[in-house]
Amino acid sequence: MITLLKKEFKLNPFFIKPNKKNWLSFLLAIILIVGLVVIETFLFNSLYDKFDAYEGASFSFSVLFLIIVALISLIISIFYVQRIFFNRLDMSLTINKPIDYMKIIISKLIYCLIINYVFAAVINFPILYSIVPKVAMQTLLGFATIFYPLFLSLLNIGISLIISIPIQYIYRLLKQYPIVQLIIVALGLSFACYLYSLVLNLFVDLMNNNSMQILFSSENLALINDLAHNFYPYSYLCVSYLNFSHGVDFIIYLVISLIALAIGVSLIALFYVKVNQFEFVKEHNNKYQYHILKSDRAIIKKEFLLLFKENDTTYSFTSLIILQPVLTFLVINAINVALLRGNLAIYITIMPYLLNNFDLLMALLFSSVISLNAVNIYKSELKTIRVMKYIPYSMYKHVYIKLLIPFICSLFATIITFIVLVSTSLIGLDTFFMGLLLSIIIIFSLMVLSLKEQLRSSKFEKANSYLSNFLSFFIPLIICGVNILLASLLGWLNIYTYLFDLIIVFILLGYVIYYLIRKFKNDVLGLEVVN
Amino acid sequence: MSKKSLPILLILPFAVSILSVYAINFNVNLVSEDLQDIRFDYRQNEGFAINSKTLLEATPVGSEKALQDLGNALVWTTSNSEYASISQENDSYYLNALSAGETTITVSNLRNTISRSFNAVIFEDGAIIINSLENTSSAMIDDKQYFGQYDFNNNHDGHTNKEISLSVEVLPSDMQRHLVLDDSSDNVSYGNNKITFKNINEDVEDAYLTFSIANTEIKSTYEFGIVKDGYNIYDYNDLLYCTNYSNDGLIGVLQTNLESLINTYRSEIRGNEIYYFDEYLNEDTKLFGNFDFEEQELNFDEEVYRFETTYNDKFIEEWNAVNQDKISNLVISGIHIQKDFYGNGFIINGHNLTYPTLTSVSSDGVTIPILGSDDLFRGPLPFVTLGDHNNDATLLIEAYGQDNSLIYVDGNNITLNDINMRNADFGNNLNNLNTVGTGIDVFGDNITIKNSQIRNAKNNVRVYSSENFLLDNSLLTNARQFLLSVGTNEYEEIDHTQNVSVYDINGQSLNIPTNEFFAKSSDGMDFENLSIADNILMNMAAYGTDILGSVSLDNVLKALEAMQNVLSPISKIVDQDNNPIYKTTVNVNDTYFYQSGIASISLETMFNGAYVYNSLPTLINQVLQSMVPMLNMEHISGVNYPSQVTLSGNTKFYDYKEVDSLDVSSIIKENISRMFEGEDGQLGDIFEGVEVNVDSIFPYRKILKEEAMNMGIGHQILDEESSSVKLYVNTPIVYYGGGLNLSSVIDNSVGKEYLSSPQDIDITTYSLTKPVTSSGEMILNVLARCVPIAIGFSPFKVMGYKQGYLYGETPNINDLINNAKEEL
Repeated sequence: MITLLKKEFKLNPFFIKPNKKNWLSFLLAIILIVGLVVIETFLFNSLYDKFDAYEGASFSFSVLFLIIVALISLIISIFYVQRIFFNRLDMSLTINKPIDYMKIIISKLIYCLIINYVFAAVINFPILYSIVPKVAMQTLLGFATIFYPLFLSLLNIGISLIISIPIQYIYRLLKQYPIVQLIIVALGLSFACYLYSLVLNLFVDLMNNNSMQILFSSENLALINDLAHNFYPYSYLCVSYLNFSHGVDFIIYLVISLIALAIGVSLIALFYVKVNQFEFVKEHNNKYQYHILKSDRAIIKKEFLLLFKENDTTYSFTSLIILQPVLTFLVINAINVALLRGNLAIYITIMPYLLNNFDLLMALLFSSVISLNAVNIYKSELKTIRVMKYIPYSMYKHVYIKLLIPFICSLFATIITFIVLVSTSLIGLDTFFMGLLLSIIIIFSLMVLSLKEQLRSSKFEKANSYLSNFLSFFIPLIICGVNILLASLLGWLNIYTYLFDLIIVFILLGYVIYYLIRKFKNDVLGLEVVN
Repeated sequence: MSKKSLPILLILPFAVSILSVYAINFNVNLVSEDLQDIRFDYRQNEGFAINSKTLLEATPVGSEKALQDLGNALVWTTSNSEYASISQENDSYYLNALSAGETTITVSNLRNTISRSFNAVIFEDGAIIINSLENTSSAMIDDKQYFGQYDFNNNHDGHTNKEISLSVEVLPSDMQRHLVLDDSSDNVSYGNNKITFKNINEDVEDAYLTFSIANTEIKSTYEFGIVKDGYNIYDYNDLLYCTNYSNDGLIGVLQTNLESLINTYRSEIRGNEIYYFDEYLNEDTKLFGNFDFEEQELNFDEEVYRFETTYNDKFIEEWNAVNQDKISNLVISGIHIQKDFYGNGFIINGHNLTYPTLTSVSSDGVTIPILGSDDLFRGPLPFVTLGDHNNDATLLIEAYGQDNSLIYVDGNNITLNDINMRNADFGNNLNNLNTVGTGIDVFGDNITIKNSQIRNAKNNVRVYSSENFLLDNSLLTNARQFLLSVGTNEYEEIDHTQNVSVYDINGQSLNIPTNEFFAKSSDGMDFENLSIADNILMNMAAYGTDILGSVSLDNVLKALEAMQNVLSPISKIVDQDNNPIYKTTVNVNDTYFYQSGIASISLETMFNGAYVYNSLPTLINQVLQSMVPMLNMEHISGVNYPSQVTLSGNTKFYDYKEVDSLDVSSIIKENISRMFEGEDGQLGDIFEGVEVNVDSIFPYRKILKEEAMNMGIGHQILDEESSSVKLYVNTPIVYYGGGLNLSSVIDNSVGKEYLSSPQDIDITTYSLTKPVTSSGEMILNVLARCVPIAIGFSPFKVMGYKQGYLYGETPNINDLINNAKEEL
């Protein structure tokens, strides 16, 4: 059992002992998590102070916020449960071994609980400990807070397990129909995007120009109170935690959680082997129809298939480039409204270049962050690398095609994004042309970098993508930071700062092209294959 | 990693939005909350047999807080205890009929600010009790109910002649068959228990019918008034057809209460909302508005009257000429009155039109109104704004122009009689009245408001550019700002080319053309080459900082005074004998003023500073232009013609307030202090330890607090609860400063010996002489000097009651009722 549990931890890349090659990547991951928690805590405390000015509102708000956080951890938990219980690599290690599958399930369950607890603790502790000084019975709440993530995890894992079986069946079914899968994923993400825009617009509307006061009308406060108290079963936990007099609510919550967990475990025990075998049986039953194609065309087709058929890419890159224009527009529009109508407007009027550069920053970040997802090129190749090495086809050409196809897709999405931004007057023509140019160069450079990183990775190690990841954030930040400095200190006009940016990115481009060419032949030939 | 970093990008706008939110401040200025109404079932006339003892019953109507207020306990009184006395047993009141005769029985709250009454006929052998079957308000100040000559037909496209149904009851009833019509006025005829009008020649005619019992001395007379060409108003639509829907207006005679939703229809709470049923709470009360029961919505958008502001809107005009985000110059009014209006004491409650549709309750238990996105009444128009009027974030200072009003009286020779109106039911926080607008906005000559009760507005009555306005025998109570605001729209601009006598900053006398004196400097930072006015203003702003070297205070003040004289061409607003040319004259007679936020009567003048004239000083303009969207001011203002107010008779001001509770943010809006204060201030807490609020920028209250005792208008009271001495003032009159104010007050009222002479509140001198102890205070003080630079250097003035006159007293509405009777 302990061995099985150790295996689970080893399979999680986060728990791999950082070495000098991937320490930066590890550090960035930590910074990312800390950043998220800081923003979350900031949001909570800022809003709490505003709610606190109204009668009874801060309690309802705290409960509602905890419920929202609980729902986010539920969504994460669902993903985690999928990954832990239905991991292909893990299955290949254990499914054919003489190990009692109940032991596997229990070890995974314990692992799930630990991971869930840690995650729930990370995102809930800052909020709960922010509340502690503001309520009665501080010592008790301070102590009880330690157990809050545990109780939350019980229910989250229970629900995640219950719905994991149907999700797996649907997921594996969709895998047989890539076009349908692509459409469904795109639709699902579009719906999520719509929900995001709905919440974001509502939030920004409320916040700007003091219309936030509308949020605090008695009707809305009553609605928040109703939501907070009637979002079962999470409201039982959150209400009882913030008000110990609701002890019965806690007991009800505990009973519901344990029942959900029991049902979840029973379902997983019943279906675990069946679902996992389904995967292999289906794989073996695949029948391919071979068509003879010209080599160039075949390679291009393969790359497109990898982008649009391969599951991981479908869920990340492909769907995200479809949504890139919408997401970028929503975020920039919301930030612009907040900056122009709210408390910060005075800074924007004093330093108008802040707005341009903030918009540029967001547009560059979105395009670079999303496009970088496409360059997990060789990871998705798996065994075909060996085939590529056997067939009489230029590896260089292969690499170029591999680079160009996702680049063209990203380029297309980025052009659309900038057209959307300029046609909705969010950015001016100068930012449009220069931003687009900068964006294209950055995307290309990052893709080249990422390609090089993958060429240099070994089959036993995850590709060290720290440099490209780091630069995907760092380059836009540097560009916009320098622009602001030049505009504020030297009074440079936009156009001059943009020209300066071009110099920076051309230097970057020159470097990465040199970096790519250097030992390129060795890198390509030395690319290790997966057996 | 890249995929995982997406959430940060998606959360970022939420965080930025939170950062952009202002601190939400709600100021509280608590006052005693009056009842909204008192209801009873007594008719206008009721008979009581001699020696009988009758339980008197009435129900107070108001918020929970108002009902719990001991000052709102109901008290019954009799006007003539010879005929009937009132006795109290436990919590019940009884009428004891003593001898034959008639007496007025009144129920009022203990503070005497709201009352209802009926006529009690005490009889021995018998009595005739005459009541109209029409609604009667029982809250009249005028003794007489008036009826219009006509009723609208159903489509409001014609009218029918009014008939009054009468109930003539004889007590004891066995004498009913001996009832005869003894006498009647020539203008009425009577038959089938109905009165019809005939031969109406005068604008208003008295009418009567006398009934008697044959062969006895028992007689009774029913008296009323007939309004020639008057239309009786039985609901809100009748009111609209008399006013907003009529081009020239019709004479209106109100015959019903027009109340708020909650006081009109039966309602119940469903979830978080109130659901209204199509079922009246009282027969005599209709809704002010047209309610859609299906949608449960009330919308005034198509019904209100909109008109271009009559006040100076030059700023709005100039702003709109260069900005895409326009500012409307339209003012909204709930009722547009162009002809006489008789209120008959019926309530007009504009709550659903004027009050913010959303409310909340602060953690201190104070009700806070919140403007809904579709609310029509959103506060006054701007007169001038430093920054963007449409964006609070970039609005630095704003002086107000004309506000919306519940009633707009527009025309000459109009009388409003026995109006009983309120803009809103606001609870007990005067600041809740910030956006409810003016009560009655008067614009025309020879307009009279008499026997009226005007409650709960930002300014209860506003009289601008109206000659010979009379406010008579009325009660004005609960104003966020002023109970009566007096001013003029007309103003005179400076002659830009005329030579003027001024002083430079060194005290040297100069005689130069105005445009040369006020010339803009090419660079505000080039201190050596500033224009004369620019140099004076910069030295004023920087006085005490040694940035521009040392200048004497006397020279600064002398130069500023001369500059204000240039900005205020006095010769244009006085006649040949140097007497002010008054464009507004107001007579206030026998009127009570009770509970204002700042002062009872304001005599206003336009703000008229150098900045408004020519965007001087250049440096400040350069800084402001770089900070916020600013209109380059060009001759926005001028000098207003003055107004004159005459106080007479039993006019009294029951308007004591603790100085600390004065909130002058309704005079001038400023956001500068917000930038410096608290954790939400954009400029952080670099001014830590320095008091930063509206008083720091516009120190009217501060000066009044410091000087009230010296002025002889302070009244110190030991507060037993806090064991501290609190300073109270009662300021019946305040003169606006900034621009030149030649307005005057003639006081012939009963309290004239207690009213002080006008005392200066000089914010210019204060900001120049105020000692500063830190660099933060010094910077704040420099910013505070920008206010007089923008609004002008003339001092505000106050006239206050001395010796604590009327402290602790409240107005008695029965005095007004008696006054009206005596007049008859």
